[in-house]
Amino acid sequence: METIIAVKHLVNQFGSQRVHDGLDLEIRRNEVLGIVGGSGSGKSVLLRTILGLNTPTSGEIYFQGQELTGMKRQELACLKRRWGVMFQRGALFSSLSVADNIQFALREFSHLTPAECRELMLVRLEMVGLEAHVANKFPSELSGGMIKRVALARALVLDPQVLFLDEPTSGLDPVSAEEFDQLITTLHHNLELTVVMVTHDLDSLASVCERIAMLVDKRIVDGTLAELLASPHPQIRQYFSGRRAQAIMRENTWNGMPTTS
Amino acid sequence: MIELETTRQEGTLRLNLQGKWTFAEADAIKTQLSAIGLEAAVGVVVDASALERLDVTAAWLVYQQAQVWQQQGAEIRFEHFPAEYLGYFEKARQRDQPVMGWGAFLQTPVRRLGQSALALLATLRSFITFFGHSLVGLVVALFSPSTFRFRSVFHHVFSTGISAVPIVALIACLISIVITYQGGGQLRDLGAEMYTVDMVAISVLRELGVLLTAIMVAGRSGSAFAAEIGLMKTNQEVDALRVMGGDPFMILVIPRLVALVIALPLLTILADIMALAAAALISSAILDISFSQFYSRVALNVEFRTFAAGLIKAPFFAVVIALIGCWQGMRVTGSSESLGEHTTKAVVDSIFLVLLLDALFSVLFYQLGF
Repeated sequence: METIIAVKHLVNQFGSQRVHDGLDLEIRRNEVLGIVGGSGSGKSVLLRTILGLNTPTSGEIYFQGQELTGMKRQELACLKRRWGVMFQRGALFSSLSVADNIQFALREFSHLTPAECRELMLVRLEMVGLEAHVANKFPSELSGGMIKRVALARALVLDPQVLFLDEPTSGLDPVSAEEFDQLITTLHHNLELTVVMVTHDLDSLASVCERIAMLVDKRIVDGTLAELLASPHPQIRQYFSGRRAQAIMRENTWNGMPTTS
Repeated sequence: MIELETTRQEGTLRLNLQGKWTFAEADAIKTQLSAIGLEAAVGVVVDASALERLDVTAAWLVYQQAQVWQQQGAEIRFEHFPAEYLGYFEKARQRDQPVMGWGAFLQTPVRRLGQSALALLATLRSFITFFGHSLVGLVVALFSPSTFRFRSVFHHVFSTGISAVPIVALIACLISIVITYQGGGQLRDLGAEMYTVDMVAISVLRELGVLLTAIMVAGRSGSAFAAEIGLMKTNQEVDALRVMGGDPFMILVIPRLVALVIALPLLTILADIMALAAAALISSAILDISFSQFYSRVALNVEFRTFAAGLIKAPFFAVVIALIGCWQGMRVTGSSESLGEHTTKAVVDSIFLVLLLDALFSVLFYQLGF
């Protein structure tokens, strides 16, 4: 499969602490990639580096073959519009209504009329499974699950090729989390999206992600869930050996996925 | 790049979409589609089979144009068009009701007047409740000193008082320099430059020293109180306190109130001293009034009660500033916009109330012959 984003020899160092040391990562077109790792292993820093919110100590990031770190600001801004990002806590603009939050990028970066922007906003709300009346609410009036959905709608509004999700199911109840996983799967299928998600949710890993990149020893070990489970690396074994992980893996054996045990 | 091939056959208009139809091409898509006339066609077929890429925005623009043709009486058929997209569009269209009812704009002025009056009453009520709560808190603190948080008070005396020393001293000097220059110039023409000393001393001690200090502190600390407490509210820290059995009034409001009541009079004394010192310096420089002349003139003509009349107002101003600041902080809800709004209000309202209170004191002192 074609590579859409490539991270090469990435080094991130804060003071004397080295978070990434020669990290390589490939993200392929139309896949759902899960980035996992223990707390403090540098998942968020990796995501922030790819998104350009953190300048790496050294290393390159390529998007469709173009190197990003040396790129001019304006070109970069243009490229970024092909990306959608959903932040962990939504990061909705609290002074704007849901409608304006979603329409913001449309109004800013297109020549569509206000009526067209509004219709397109409603289409996005429909896509993430929210009622039209939510459009008039403000972020402070929404529940956690609704904030995530609105944030997803906002991330989708410019029809991104790549969708980045930072812990999409954290803070959701199991039912909402599963619904959200399904929503991501549906959108992935319908919109031909490449999805990159940082997650702690083992259910999401098992049900949504096609490939998993795990941060181990400041680098990436990637593969399918089955491949990672078969890995002899002690840290990977430890990550998947918890009781909760085991329960989910058992469930997936039943679905025909091999496990280590 | 988008490509569009149209063929007309037996009353059917066939659109063959080719290339990459994406958000970036929205303008081109709109112009190309709207340029196509139905003419005699009674049926339109939209064929997406040859498309390389079709995203939601582009698909919706096609769908929207199809709606227009449908209203003109044509029958629309989509071929190889992503069914999911059509599903989203249909549902979104059905659900789109007129929002933001016009009612809000058409409300009669009378109704709006009533509503704002009610809102004003609610605000007033909220403040009175807050004021009462604080009084109760103070009484509780007085009778059970163990609930009183001395460390917190010291912290706030430092942040509202000691760290305000340089700026308060500076503005006291500046205002005194202004008065000495302006007044001294006028009085010298009359040969009465000696009265400059009386004028500066009395105006600074009675009014300007305390008033400028209070306004400065309202700007510095009133806004800080509102922002600190407001952010704690949005972060649910106030809720956390409450759940742990803590009383936000005792922990957040009372220490700030007490600290400001301690700090503001001290700052006022400082401002008075600095203003007199600056006046003495300027007088000796431009009016040839020596320091000893200045001192004896002040000692002769300015009574202690002039100084007291200014100082006594300081604790009252402090209470107003602290209460308004904390109260506005407690009124912050959710959004960052609300935080900004209430911080602004804290400053504006407390300065307004300080000036109002000062006017009332002037009337009171006049009546008392103070």
